[in-house]
Amino acid sequence: MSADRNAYWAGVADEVYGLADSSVNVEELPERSNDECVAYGVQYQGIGGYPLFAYLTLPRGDGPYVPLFQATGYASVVGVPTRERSVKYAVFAPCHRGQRLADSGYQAAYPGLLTDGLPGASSYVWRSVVADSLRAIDVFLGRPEVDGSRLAIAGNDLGALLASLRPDVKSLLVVTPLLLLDGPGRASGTFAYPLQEYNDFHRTYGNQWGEALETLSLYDPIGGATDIFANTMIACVSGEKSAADFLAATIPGGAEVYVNIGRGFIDHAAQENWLADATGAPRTPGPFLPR
Amino acid sequence: MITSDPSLFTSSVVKPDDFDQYWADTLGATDTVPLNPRLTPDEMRSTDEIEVFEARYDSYGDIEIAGWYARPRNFAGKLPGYLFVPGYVSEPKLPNDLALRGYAAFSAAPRGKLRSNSVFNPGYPGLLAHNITKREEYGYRGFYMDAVQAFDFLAGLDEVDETRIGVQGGSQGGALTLLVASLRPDQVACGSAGAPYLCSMMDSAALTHSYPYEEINDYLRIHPEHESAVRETLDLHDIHNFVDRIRCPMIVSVGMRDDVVPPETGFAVFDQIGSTDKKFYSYEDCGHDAGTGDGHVAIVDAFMDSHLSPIAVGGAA
Repeated sequence: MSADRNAYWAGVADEVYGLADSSVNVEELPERSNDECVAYGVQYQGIGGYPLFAYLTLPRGDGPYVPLFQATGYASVVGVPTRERSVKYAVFAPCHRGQRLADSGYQAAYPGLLTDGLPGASSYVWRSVVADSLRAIDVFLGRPEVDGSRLAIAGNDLGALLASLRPDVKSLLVVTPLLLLDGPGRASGTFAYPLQEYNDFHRTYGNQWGEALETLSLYDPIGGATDIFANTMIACVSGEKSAADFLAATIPGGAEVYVNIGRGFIDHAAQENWLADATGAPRTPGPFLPR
Repeated sequence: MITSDPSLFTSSVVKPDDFDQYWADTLGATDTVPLNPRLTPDEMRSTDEIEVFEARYDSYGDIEIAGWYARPRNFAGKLPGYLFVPGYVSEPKLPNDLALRGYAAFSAAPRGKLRSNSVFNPGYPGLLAHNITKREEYGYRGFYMDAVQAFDFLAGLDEVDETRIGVQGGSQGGALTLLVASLRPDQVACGSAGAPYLCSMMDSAALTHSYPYEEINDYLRIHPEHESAVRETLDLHDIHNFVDRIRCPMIVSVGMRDDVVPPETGFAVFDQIGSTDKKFYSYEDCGHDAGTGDGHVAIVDAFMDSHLSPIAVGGAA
């Protein structure tokens, strides 16, 4: 990690660390609980005193459980963790600021979130998105039901960035779409959102593009890949493979790159089985119930 | 009846006696609200090839609804229209890809979606169970009308050929595709419904633990005494009961291992579609993707293009 990058993220980490003693409120959600797992709503603060929310689910039992942190995606909605995961992991599904349930002071736009606040590194909204995620990990690992020595992260490539900033991540499942990994570079070959946001910004604010690229480079997981020590799988589509291969080659311990075959049931099973094996959790049947 | 062969499934949905009257009344109430269509150019999302607009219109209950509209920048004569209807949790896509393919494309954000949620905002989870025991106040009543009004918005644009408008979507978008084609049977030229949601809803809840249908299970777990009222509301809003009105060419796809929308319900609703020009695609080893990663996107594109004849647009982004 470069000196500039180190200093930038150290500043964010310091701000997050300053929240260590702030209040956390955990409340059971009876309507989202069932005979196999219990769901909770967790309310806590992000940097700047921003109110945040997360779903926490726990298997019914004694624990401690493998903690599975679901990195936020590019979407307004964060869902209740799936039954498939909730029966065997402690699952934390946080909302970053701007997403539903954490939108009291800022509402993210789609499209819009990926470039909001560019070009400045201090004003880019993803600085807060990452900070909210780091704070969420701390809140999660503060729960007595989790085994903090087995932390796993699953999600888009924000998860890889988080793993580069948290050496305690032991397992990392990165899934498509990749938004940050060479995002501006890959955007030049598409007009599909969300990557198209980079093109829109470039076209509209050409004179700010150089500064924006410097900021975005701080968020590219490749810049921190040498600090990823987790057992890693990158599950991508064929158009993302070269970027995924580059990331895998840069991670010191390497990573498995799985290219989706395009049949969702098989691709889903491959990813979830890998995650179970990596974390030591049991493999379980997928979400499609037997007939 | 649930069997090991999804194609043999029999839906338990019953069409209420007042189904036709209820929806005639709902459409009538919607007609009393002036559509009041507005378009605002969005220069940041526009390119040399396409123009993008933020859209607004008014719908059932005087609620303002948002959308995106995109069209080729250069065209002569009329454009074919393409209505894209969104999934349950996803925000409506900005249809620049469809404009680049030569369509006047509208992507609707029915009530509760971002930009359409200042009055009605049940959240996710939330929408499927919103007022689920109050049949006339059920959340999807107005939501359905927002989709129909989105079609009317598109059909009313000067540059759109009202004889060449298609509808397409997946999951909830698949349901809304079938709905709009049912309620505008003489105007919709063709439709493509992927993994259609909101079909045989009570049966679906029994076949999965996945959201959104899990919302029904969640509700009945807490309120088992309300099951008959829930079924009554859902039967009144079940897409299965609309589709015998469809007259346009229609394609439907399902994933045979879909945990979100049980494939059985796709077979059942397809059987009910009134059009004789219809085709069903089932994809083994696919889930809620319903073949989109396995070649179905090209099938949808070819189907829509063959019926709507988009214009040629040069270049890309």
